[in-house]
Amino acid sequence: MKNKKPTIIFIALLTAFTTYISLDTFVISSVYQAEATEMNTKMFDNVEKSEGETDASSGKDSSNSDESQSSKKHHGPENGKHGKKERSSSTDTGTTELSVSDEVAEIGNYSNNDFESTVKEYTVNDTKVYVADVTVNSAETIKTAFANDTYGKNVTDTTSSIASSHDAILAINGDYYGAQESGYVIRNGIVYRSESNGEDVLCLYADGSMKVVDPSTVTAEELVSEGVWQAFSFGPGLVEDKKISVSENDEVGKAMASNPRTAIGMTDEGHYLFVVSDGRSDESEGLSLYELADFMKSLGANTAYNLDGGGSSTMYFDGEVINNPTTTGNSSKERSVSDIVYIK
Amino acid sequence: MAFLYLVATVFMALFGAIYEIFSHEVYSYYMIYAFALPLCLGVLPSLAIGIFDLMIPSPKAARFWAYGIATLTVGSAFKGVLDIYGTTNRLVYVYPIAGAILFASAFLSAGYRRQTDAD
Repeated sequence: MKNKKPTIIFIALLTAFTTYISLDTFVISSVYQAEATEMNTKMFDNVEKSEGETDASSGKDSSNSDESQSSKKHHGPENGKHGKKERSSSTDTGTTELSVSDEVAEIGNYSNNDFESTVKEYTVNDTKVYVADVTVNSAETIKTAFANDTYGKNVTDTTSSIASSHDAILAINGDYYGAQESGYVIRNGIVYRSESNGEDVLCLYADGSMKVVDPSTVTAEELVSEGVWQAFSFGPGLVEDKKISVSENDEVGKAMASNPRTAIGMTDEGHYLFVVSDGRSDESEGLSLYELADFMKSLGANTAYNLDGGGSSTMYFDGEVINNPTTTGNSSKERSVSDIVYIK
Repeated sequence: MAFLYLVATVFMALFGAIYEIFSHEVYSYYMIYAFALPLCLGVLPSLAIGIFDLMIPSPKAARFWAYGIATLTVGSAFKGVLDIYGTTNRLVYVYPIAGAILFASAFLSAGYRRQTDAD
């Protein structure tokens, strides 16, 4: 027994540490800033509103097309796996093998004084893809929110809960900043994290432009001083200057398969695309990064960027989740995420 | 000892393979090759000692060495879990640091002797 004592102590220490690091990674919440709802709107003071303001309409006017064939549905539970990021490399090459069905179902539309949005369902490579085509008067309309309005680690909630608590009309999941220990986090003009993780950062500027930025060339504080309203660190960039910026072999982390995806893009200043694809199911195979990039380009995106996918991919519109979020593919259920992008 | 290392090798190989099967084709080299640590640092040196009648370490040194292998193997598997989930934790660097300290302790522990002398 005496000879085994050191081994017993070692096993106990190794087990205890591994248990602690597991809890620290996946369970234990750390609140870095509560009530993280501040918005730095000063950057919009000098930005002229776009000429084509949307028509005033009294209240909501969302309507479903009679031809709509979308299957709005709901959930089931699971743990999620979202890929790790790798920098994209190659540029647009050759022909696309994207198979986009001719049938496009309009799920609904909405307009008010600040924005217009039309949501459609496409079928791309045997995958249902939901596209919200959004035109805004000001980039200020595109907001972000943290789960429980708290900036922290392992502070999560479903996209629909966060969206409904902020009276969002349209929302998608964000970059799940909480799963990473680094990567710029700039939300509503406020810097929450200025440590870079070396990955491409998507910046939405107050003037409505959108750009993929190398964080090694600029600090988060400098980005805000340049007028960055929102910044996301997941990636990679999908489309830059109208060219696909991922190769067919690129993937997020080591995920080589087709998966549910979330992406955001811009066709013109003030005109954006929120895109969520299903995947991992019999109905929807999922998209590779290249297929997603190709699809964004086919929609006319000048700039497009990959956000957290897999079980996180969720689109919320007019009070309900309109895609089929799933982690395992066996059941459909929203995953709790750390942040969303929304419009109201 | 070689048998224990072999069991650990086989276990980690199966663990990594099964984990990868359920990871939606998201892979991690840390998970896939975690079995290589007990194999290269445990099984092969043990076989070499036996086959070529090399000096064998003292029980104390052998124990530290085994602890080091266990630490690195667990750390590699956990890093694989983080990679597949798509998250990070700086505490994972404790594993290679602790493993290096344990290996250094094994080398510093005196008392090597030939296997034939010990028999």
